[in-house]
Amino acid sequence: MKKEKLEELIERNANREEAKKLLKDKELLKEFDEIMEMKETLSDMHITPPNGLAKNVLARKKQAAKPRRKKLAFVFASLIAVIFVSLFFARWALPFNVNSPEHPFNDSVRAPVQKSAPSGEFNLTESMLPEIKLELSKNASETKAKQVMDKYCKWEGKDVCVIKEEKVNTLINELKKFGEVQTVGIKETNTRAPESSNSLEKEIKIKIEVIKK
Amino acid sequence: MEEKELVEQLKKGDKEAEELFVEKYAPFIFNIIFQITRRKNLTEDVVQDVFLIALKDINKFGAGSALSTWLYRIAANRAKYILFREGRQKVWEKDAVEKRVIDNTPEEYKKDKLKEIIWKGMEFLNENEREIITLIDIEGMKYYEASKLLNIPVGTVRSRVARARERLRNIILKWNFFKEELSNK
Repeated sequence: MKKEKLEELIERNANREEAKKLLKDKELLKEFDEIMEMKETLSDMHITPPNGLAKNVLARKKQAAKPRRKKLAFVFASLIAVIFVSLFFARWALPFNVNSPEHPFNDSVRAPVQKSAPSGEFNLTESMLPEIKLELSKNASETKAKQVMDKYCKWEGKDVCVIKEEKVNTLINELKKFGEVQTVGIKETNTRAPESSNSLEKEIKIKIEVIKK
Repeated sequence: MEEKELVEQLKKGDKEAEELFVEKYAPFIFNIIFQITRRKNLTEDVVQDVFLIALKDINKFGAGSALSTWLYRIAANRAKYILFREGRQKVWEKDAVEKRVIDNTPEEYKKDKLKEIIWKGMEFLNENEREIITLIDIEGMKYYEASKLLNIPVGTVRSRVARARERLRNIILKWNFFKEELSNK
């Protein structure tokens, strides 16, 4: 009971005179004095935080935000780099030679297949090649006709001419001066306008037959 | 600025509110952490950590509790975590207790001496006891305020603080401080 009284007095910070009246016990009064002395000292132990704490906190917050932004930028840049590298390899890295017929992006192979047009770049047998038949007229010179052909053709064997696609019509027109010209499998592909600069460079194989009357 | 308004401003990321928030609660948090870590330099770092965590997680703060309670929980957990991480070092900082100038009066000398002894004595209290002494006697909180903060009944606060004071007094008595210094009272 007396202990409870002591605690109550301590709780409400009673002064010594009041405690002396209420406690009436030297030992308890001594305890009261000591605890009050301790309390007073403890209340004096409150420490003031250093100045500029708020500024330091806000500065650290700002600093902490920066690397996060940098990190995001780095991740974004890496992602873009990965996409570009993947695209590069998808386009170029498979069979490295684009002109290879095995390359999935080889236009020279794909285009004729899509349009189902015959092309000199297939590995065709000689009998399947497009053909020009020149029936020489009476006065025409076979030698001169051959000279015209030599101007446009690189010969493969005796009668297979490797010629730039764009020159085919020119050759036909020139050969017409020497006689009647018949074509097989040429008109459809070569009369159309070239689609791209790539097709201008394209060479095709044509079988040329000269018939003397 | 009222607490509710302050929280709303903090959630919006208002810089002035953030500064006000730190200035308002820093003394309280500083003392709480200082009593746990008992090292001034470390305390400063931990206080900064606590406010950074609080500002980052302010959206998680619910309207049901007081800001000081929420902040106190972060502070206590953070300080204990740091101590755990660093390995509890019972290093008593000689200069941790603020002292007056050397040529002080006998009364001031006695107070400083008692302060030093209490500081040393608190080292021997357990965490709960030191926590309650810090809140009630150092921070000057009422019992019901401490009860809310610690989420325990007022009766528990009362008995805990009485027990902590009793233990601290006994420790100091063992060192004969009161007998020598208070005998002439």
